[in-house]
Amino acid sequence: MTSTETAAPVALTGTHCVACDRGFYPGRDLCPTCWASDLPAHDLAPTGTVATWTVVRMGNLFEVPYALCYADFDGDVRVLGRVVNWAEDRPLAPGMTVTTHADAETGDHFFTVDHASAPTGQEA
Amino acid sequence: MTNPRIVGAATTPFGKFRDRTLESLAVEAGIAAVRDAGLQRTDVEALFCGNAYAGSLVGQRIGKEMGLDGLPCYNFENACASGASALAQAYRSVRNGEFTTVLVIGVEQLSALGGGLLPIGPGDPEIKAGLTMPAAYAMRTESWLSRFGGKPEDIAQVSVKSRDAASRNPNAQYRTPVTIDEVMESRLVADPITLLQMCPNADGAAAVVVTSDPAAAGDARSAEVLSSVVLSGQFFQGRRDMAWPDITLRAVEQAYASAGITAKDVDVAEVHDAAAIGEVMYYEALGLCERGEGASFVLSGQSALAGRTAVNTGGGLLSRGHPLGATGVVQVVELVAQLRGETGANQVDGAKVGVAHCTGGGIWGVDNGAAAVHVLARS
Repeated sequence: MTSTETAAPVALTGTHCVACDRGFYPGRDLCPTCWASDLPAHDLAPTGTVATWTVVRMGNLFEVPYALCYADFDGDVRVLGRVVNWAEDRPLAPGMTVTTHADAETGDHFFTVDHASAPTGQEA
Repeated sequence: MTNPRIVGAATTPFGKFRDRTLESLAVEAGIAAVRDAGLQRTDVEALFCGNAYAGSLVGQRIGKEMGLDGLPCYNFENACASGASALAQAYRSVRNGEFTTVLVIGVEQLSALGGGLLPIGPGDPEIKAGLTMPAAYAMRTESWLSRFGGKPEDIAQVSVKSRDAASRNPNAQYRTPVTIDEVMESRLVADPITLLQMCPNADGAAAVVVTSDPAAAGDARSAEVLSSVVLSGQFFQGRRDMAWPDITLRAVEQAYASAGITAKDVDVAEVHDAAAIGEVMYYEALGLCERGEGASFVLSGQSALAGRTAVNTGGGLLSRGHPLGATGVVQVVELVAQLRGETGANQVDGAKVGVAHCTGGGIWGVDNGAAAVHVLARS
């Protein structure tokens, strides 16, 4: 996991509706509220906060087990992603900080978690 | 307008029937429902069919097998709420006077898709990121436990109750009782959810006959449909409480108001326990207990047959099985049997009002694609 843990952060690019002050990731061109189209691109902050998480042990898209979490970013944007530096003896907890990355080939996003960022009383 | 009544109700056994066809399952349930109503093929004026995975023209494929070809036929896909959506539109057509008597069939043959997890939305960004249905329910479980405290075993108690009920339902897919240890020691699917806390894939069909024939009002075996609500989920990109199902709350509020009932009036309920956490959340969302008390509600036996409000008396999705398109209809078949007093060992004494609730799928930003709630009352 060293390679992914040391991977450079890559901000996730979504879109933002200025009129409604709503952010979207993945970006969408049309604001569903005001129907403004061609919403401008907008980068999320490179770090977010774990809202909830699980370990997927049955699935066929990625090698199992893998950790999955919803993370909240500034601007009230929640993103689901895999946490590639999770390990059985290093569980996640709500409130931990994740950093965003992107696969060099596919551009698909993934997260790394800062295990030292566990909220008080939930030290992993 | 007079409320439509359900005068016939039937289900096939649920399970894996690879040697059957989807059409044969649907025909079996459909004919049994019409006969249960004391009616004939020629009394049926229209067919409403719910199915999720079998492709186009499912109702016509069934109709031509059982001599309902040539009639108005409507097909409904709303994921796991497909059958309930078919019923909802049947109810509306009958209530509006377009038809007097119609047949609703919900059917699914998931064994035709092979085994394993259901293939859901490959183009969906969250599926692409690694989401599975059990993972979504696992994060609901984690959210509920983080907020209200308790242990995963408390939620998993739903599976024990479910199997107990199914052990007395000959049509259920899994009828062997299980202990809490067996539930917790079954294969871990998505932490903290184990296999026995997720519903199995199933094949099966269920059917009901809906009518406005005034003679049905004098039929002691008929059940009045007091209200019928189908809603779609709202898109939330940002923070949301995964343990508080907004779509179900909205649907239940509308259904209770339209039926003129409150949660206190509900004697028996069918809720969408695709996972154990679902039943816990829906006790709360249906108002059967306070928010945060869902786990203690099942642990204290309040949702069992002798409890305050019996829930999923036929074993629910977890043990009766979950043939997607059939689920919303079989829930109503179970309630009709309860209101008639015909469920034998699973009977709730004096059941007068029943509520059926199911949800349909989920897509990025929309926790549940659809939710349906039907309120039924004894004649």
